[in-house]
Amino acid sequence: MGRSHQRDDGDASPLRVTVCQDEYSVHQWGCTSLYQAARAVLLISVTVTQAMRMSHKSMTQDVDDLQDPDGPATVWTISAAHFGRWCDGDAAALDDLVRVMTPVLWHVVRSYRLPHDVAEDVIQTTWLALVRRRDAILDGAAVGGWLTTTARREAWRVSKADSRATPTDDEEIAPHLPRQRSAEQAAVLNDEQARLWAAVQTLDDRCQRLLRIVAFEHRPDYGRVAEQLDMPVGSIGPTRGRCLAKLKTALSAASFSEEMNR
Amino acid sequence: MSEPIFEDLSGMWDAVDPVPDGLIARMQAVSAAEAELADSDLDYELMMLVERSSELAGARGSSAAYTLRFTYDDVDLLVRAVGANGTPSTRIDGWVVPPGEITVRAQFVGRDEASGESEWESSVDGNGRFEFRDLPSGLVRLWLTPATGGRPIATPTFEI
Repeated sequence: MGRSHQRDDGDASPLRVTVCQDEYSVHQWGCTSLYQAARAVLLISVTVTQAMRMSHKSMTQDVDDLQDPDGPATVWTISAAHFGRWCDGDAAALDDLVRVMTPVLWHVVRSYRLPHDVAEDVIQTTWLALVRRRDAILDGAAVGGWLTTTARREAWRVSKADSRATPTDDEEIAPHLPRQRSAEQAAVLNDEQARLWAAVQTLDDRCQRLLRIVAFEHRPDYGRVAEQLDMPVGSIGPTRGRCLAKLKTALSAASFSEEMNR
Repeated sequence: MSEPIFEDLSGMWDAVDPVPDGLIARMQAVSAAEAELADSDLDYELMMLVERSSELAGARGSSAAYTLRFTYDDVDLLVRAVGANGTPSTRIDGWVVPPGEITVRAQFVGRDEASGESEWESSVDGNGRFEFRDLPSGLVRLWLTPATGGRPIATPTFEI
């Protein structure tokens, strides 16, 4: 209620993965098709809801401020509406789409630990691809997912090719020691965020990336995420759960030691 | 049930690693320019950035330089941009492989007409080299057009 982003992926993904997991141990292809079937059903329901929201929104001037009676407008429904207006010939709607989606792309791409300039190149490549292949995007409601998937694929490609980016594949590698925050960061984080940041930094790279992707992507394509994290698709859900559990443990350990020091 | 911790996480990352100043405006300029091209009849190929490296040129850091490498098909383009700190003037040196009779245009994106010229032209010599001196700073993309006709190829934009 009252949240600015909708988080229904929390409901859908564990279900998807549970179905998949049982099947996965028996027969990998069975899993894939079951997974795809489940996903197709989910996608259809999402498309229908979003289409309903879009037709509702198109009557208003500024979709950014619109409150949908079925729930808050999300970055995904807003970007779908801007994309729709752009395809209908409103050139300014492209500016709006870029404004809404660029921050999401930033966080998705930066989760690959790419330097600023390289991350910016990846985001540019993503926007150029959207403009150049606009006609290939058949489902306008899914434009947000198309953009994040394209950005992740490109970030993954670049991180493998760029020697300066050092993605760590091994989840078992010792977590980094808590890093010193720079003065700049200290200035902008409130206490709650500082605690969360300290806890996140105790996690391994793969957990950090997965949590960041899930935090900014409404419904990441688990098949692609799995490929890009070099994990079987059935283990994404459990890994996400494990990463969240580790994060919560780190958070309570931190608050416990704070209590002790009082 | 949704997980409220993801709300906190996205807020935290927004604070720890914020979207850089001007990124949205740069992406808007790039997208708008590309959309304009897409609406025109111009058919061209987009080169892919395959390598980017920066160096501090000059012992006292009086200038900054970086090198970009783009490819398309069998064409390889290396670009080195050197800007002198404190002046708006940038020099670009480029090498094209294979060399040929090629016109190179440096086209600034998102530069309004009031700020003067937005396009410079040069040509590739027999060794595949070309240069631009005294370019203003901004978002630029390079266009390579073969004199024999044929489709032009263009780099993505980069900032100088």
